[in-house]
Amino acid sequence: MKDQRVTRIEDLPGPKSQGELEEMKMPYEEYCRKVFAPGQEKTKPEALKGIRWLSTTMYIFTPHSVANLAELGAECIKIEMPRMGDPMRHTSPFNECYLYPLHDTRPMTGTGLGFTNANSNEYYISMDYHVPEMKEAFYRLVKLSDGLTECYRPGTFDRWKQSYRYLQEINPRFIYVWGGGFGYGPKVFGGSYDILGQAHAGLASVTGFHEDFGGHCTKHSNWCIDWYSGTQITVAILAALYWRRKTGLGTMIEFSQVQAATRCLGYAAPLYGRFGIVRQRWGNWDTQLCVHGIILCGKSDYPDEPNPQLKYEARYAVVSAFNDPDFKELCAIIGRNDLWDQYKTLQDRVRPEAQIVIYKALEEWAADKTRSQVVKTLTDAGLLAMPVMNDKEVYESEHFRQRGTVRWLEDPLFGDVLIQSGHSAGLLSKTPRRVNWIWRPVGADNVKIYHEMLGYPMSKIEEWYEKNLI
Amino acid sequence: MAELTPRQFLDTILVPEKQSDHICWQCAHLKPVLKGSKFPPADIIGWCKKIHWPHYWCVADFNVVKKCYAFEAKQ
Repeated sequence: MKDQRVTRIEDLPGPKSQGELEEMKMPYEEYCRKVFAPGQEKTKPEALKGIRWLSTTMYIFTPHSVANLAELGAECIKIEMPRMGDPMRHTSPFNECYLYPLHDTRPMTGTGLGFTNANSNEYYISMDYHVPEMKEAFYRLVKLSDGLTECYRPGTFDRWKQSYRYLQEINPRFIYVWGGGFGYGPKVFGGSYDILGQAHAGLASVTGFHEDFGGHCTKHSNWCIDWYSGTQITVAILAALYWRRKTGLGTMIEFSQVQAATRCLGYAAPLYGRFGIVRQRWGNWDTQLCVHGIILCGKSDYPDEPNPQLKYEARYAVVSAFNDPDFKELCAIIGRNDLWDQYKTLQDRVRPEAQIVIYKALEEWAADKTRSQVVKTLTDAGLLAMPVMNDKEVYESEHFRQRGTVRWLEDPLFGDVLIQSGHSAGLLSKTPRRVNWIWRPVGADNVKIYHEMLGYPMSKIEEWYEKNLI
Repeated sequence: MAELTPRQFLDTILVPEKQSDHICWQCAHLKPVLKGSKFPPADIIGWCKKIHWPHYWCVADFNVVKKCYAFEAKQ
């Protein structure tokens, strides 16, 4: 027991050794580079090593909740339908680019790029849960695991005697996640997709241009609610693991995708509740700040590129100059000091009628300029401006390179794959996330899991395989 | 049949849930609650597209407005 009345030098904050002293003298930038060390992730320990998780999931939203665990070091086993696998494997942009193979019984099909990032670092086994013969193997997996994420229709796993009510009897420490469309309640049988979540939660109604400008509501064209909900599930899982450390007991987590998106709505619900005002879409403006939006510039940064995405679309820039001195500077740059005289306060500028005038003036000024010229002129004057970058530019961006966000992964099966964000979605100095492989074929780890882990003889595994049970 | 403007065409297919002597019914800026819609609260007849533009302002049936600065008669 330490004597609380004595102040010991080693209890005081500050460096304790020569090495720590040197570290303290480092400039902050250099210190960050040293402790985060992009590219050195695999030399460090994994935070969730020792956790084993089952994933009976499909598409993006529920798989991503498990991929987050896998990237943090948990041993994750994805269970797929025999022969077919996760339906998301069969998706890719316009069904054109496949990485082979899918499964040895289907040599002409492959896994599409749509599957990337949602299932990294996992072991892939196949199992037909309907068949009584496979129940024992499933229950044995549950006994040896910490939890499971599933995405079947509500009550399906219950009907198959493998819901939380059954599994907690055989493993009281088990953490069970149901993730899906609407959850229990009036729409219990409603299936869901990301776009449904964006629509049902009211999110799609506030993206896109206002109808007075001829606009429509817009969904985000990537599955942002899937990715976002998956991450929210991971947060719930980590909380459940902590709860289990305190009590020794598992939990059931029920996660409805369509309601996850309501969290992104910001002030919309309170605004309606207090004043009866329905939030509308504002396109590229902001409802609270002006100038703080995206403008269209007249000339492309890449006029000679054959790719239309570069030739025509590389023309948008974010401009932010909402406080008074910045706005005054902006007006001087674009030669419209009259706007400063007219809109001297944020309250004047932020009104919709004023925003129409101000953004129109900005686009008129930018009509004979490229996006780069606009951004350079504004940033040189100390204002905030940023090109709206596309994939190519993100790939080439020094910022993402230095932090290791976008990088080439040497996948053990597929060779070089360009991936993003897995390593750097929240840097951890001691236990960084990492991507070891993007995916493996259907049933690739059947022998490893059924034979090496559960101890079934190879003859049994071959029999299951012949009967299409795995 | 005389050719309809897009607005007139929408009025023929978008049937309001309620009708009353509320001044907003005569106003071009009202966006009515459509027939069969179960979502809005019972006393909402529609949304004003002018007050608080570009937000929508809920128009309740019990607030009988006689005059409105934003009133513009329907074409």
